Amino acid sequence: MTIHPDQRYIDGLLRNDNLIIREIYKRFAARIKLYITRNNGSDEDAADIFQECLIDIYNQAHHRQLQLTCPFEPFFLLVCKRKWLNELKKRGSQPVTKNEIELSNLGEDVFRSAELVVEEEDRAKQVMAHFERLGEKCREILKLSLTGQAQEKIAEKLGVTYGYFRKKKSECLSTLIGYIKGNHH
Amino acid sequence: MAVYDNHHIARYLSGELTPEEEAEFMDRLETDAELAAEVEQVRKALDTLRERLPENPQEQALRANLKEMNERHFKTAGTRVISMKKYFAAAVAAAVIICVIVLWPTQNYMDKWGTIAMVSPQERGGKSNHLQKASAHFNRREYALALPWLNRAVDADSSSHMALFYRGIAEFHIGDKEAARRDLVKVFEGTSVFKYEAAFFMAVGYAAEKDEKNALFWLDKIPENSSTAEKAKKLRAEL
Repeated sequence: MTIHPDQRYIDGLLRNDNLIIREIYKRFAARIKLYITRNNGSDEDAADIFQECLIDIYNQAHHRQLQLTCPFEPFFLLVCKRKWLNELKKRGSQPVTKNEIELSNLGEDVFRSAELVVEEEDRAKQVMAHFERLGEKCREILKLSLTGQAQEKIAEKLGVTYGYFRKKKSECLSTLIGYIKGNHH
Repeated sequence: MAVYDNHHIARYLSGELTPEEEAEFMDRLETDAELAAEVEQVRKALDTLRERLPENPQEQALRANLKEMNERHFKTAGTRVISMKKYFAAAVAAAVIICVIVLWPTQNYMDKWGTIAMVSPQERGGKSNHLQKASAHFNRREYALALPWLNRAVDADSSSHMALFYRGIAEFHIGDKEAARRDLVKVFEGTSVFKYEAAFFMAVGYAAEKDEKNALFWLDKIPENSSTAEKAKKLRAEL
């Protein structure tokens, strides 16, 4: 699949490149602000959504090697729009459908890429939230286990026996699985 | 048929099952799509934790940068509703200040002089679809929405001083002064009918910043016999 020249925006986010980031704000901040403030949101909501969308795109690029096969403008605006509609849903508010963001160059790949970013990042946030529900000890055990270090070493570091560590780790993971599957409260 | 609970899945993913238990569980995964999907879901979750639990200084730096940009571009971000009771005196004082601002002769030059109607391309005999869309927003003072269409019009025809002129005005209204001036200077340096209007709006921009010297500098460029001369004279009087 051909990478779109607008991949430079994604690369700019990965490098925390001031020029690129400034360009993104100049081109899109006012439009997102207008869209959100006309759709039951405030200036603060617009600022939060704008920032979080850029972070989501960064995360998808950093962790999942997101590569842009469509223009950045409709892709970014759709990510923001979708994220704001999700937020309105959470708040129980209705979107004002007549106030749409005007978009052009809308190909199938634009929708697919934007949906993927929002869905994947929502899923990642849910996973992190489930993890945060675990007790402190469980979080520490799982966090260290996921680093790939030898289990014996981790047990030693935590000052527990190897047997206890293995047992506790399975218990913690089991609780986490329950949270993920929604059958552990 | 054995029922595998969360603990069994956890032991499988931790490599804690005996070889016999593991073989049996893997056989089951082959035939039980629901169980296989659950295991896949947990695997993905663990991948996410593996990626995101370690601190990422790069992401933190980006967040700090975006926060700063947010303050610049979403100016009211961070304001909070304050208690009227607790801050009653402050609220009264603020109200007095607002009254003074409202009752005082207006110094908001951009509001007073910066609002103009965009001539639609049909009226000028043009065919640009981008400019038509831009003018619909521009004339409703939706400058942020007009801007993308003006950008497209300029991209399609960089010699269009009409598109550059209205883009300059729209940029002024959304606070991008640097870009606004760049466009208006370009228009002024040309020979289109927007030449002296561009000079006038350069003056309005500086007047709005209380930069009288530069405002007068641009007003001086408007000849007395031009159609812009009358309002230039009025602005000069106000300055």
